[in-house]
Amino acid sequence: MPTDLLEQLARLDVPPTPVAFDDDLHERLNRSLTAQHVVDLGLRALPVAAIEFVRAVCGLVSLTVAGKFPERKK
Amino acid sequence: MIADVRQRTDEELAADAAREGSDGPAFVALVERFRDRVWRICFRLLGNEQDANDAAQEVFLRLFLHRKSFEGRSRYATWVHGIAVRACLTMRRGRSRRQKRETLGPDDSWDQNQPGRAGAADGLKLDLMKMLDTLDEDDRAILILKYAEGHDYEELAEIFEMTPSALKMRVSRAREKLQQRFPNQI
Repeated sequence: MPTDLLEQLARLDVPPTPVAFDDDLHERLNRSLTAQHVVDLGLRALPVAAIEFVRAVCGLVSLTVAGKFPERKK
Repeated sequence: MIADVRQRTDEELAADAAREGSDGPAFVALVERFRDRVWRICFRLLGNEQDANDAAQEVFLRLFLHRKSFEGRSRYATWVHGIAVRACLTMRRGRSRRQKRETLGPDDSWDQNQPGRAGAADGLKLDLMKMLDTLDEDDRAILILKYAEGHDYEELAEIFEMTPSALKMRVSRAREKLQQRFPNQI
């Protein structure tokens, strides 16, 4: 395979980068970050919030029944 | 600030981008610096504007999401080009799987509607792309990056994660395959 035939590849025209490339990229980045934050919220923040809420409800029940709020383990 | 960003090396900007919480000035400067090169690689490997646009955006998205994982073992440019090549190869493999499923005709990339495709002088180039399409994806990408983008063996070896001597061998074998398959074209 003569090299010059393959070197014709370099002469193939490549169209310029689309004008809207940056805007589209920015939009795509924002979508991706939003999705990441939603996943973070679902996997990290919400379980912690739920656990704290259940703990508070249990504490309230305990306070009502036994008159004492359960102490947190340190 | 703009002048300051322009004077910084790719690697310095990458380190700054890794510290940024969002797409701050360092990442924006990197996008500006690599946009055209990444676009060109994607277009050459995928052969049409729509896929190239999609792949190039995917590359920068990956760069952003993995901006903390650049360890500086290679040049930043080489790392970016590696990500671009992998994104394009993944897209091409997905495309050919889809085409097989849908039992369409041969790969339609580098169609006649692309700029620079029409005209007598482009006949040979079209043939060349069709010839390259008969190679496996990695060989095709290696030849395109070497001959169209002018990467040297060392850079290509880093991008394709092999030794320079193995890469030279691969280039040589790919050229031999083309010679065997298209003896009359030469």
